[in-house]
Amino acid sequence: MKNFEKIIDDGLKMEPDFKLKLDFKDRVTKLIRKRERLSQRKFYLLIALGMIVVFGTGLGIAFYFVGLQSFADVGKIVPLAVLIGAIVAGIQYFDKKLVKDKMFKQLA
Amino acid sequence: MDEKQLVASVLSGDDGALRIFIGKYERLVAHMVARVVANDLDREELCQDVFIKVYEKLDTFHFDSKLSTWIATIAFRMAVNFAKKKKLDQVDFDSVEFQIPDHVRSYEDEDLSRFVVKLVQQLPTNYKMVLTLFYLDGFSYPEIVDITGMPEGTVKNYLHRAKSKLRVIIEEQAQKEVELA
Repeated sequence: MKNFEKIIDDGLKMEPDFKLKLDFKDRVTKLIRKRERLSQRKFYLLIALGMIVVFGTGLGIAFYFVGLQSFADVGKIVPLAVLIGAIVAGIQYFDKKLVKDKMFKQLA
Repeated sequence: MDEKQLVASVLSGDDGALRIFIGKYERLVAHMVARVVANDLDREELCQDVFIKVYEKLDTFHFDSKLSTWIATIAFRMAVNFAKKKKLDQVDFDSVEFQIPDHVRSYEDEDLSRFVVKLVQQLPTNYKMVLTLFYLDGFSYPEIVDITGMPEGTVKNYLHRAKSKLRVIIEEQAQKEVELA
């Protein structure tokens, strides 16, 4: 008398014939990095576009509300622009140092 | 390197850690995908997509469950969606008509076990998945509940019904072989 329970269990535990190729992990790693690079490029492009829009809008505002007469007067608002830029960069830096790095340390 | 260190290294952009990570779980993903998809090219592509999704979502994983359970959950959803999209799973359990060869190659236990694999391939996707997770990958009932989102009673019922049906067919087949011999 055959032990059907064992035969079925053995069948259910049998590995499928399908095996991923040996270089599967290398190919997926490359693909993931490629996708990351593409999305990073997209991100930088959007940032650049955003900066152009902000710069254009800023100039428009400066001409309209601050009363600049010509591009020669733009130099007058450069210190203010530098200050705003420094604040944004500072926020980014502290966000990375205090928030994101801490997150990675907690995971480790 | 434990799981937490491995995940942290992967998230920090370490290519070597990412390769180790994929190598560690590729067998699990391949099992689940291979049960649902028949074509090797589709299988490979789906496995690839599963790992891309896992990588993209890895920063949302907070070790509330085992990493293997979480990866299996993603693989399960993607495999089921693939089956639905390609209309691979259009039968319900009671209406499955098993394609049984005239006779199994021999009456040896190993051939009968291979015959079991062929029968499992013909079951509806959810049954195949539950059987694979339980028998091949050794997940517990609560883990299968987490992975599939099915109630525990349904998981147990699927396992019981599938095994009973397989047993009936195998016994009939073995009987035929004896009569032929």
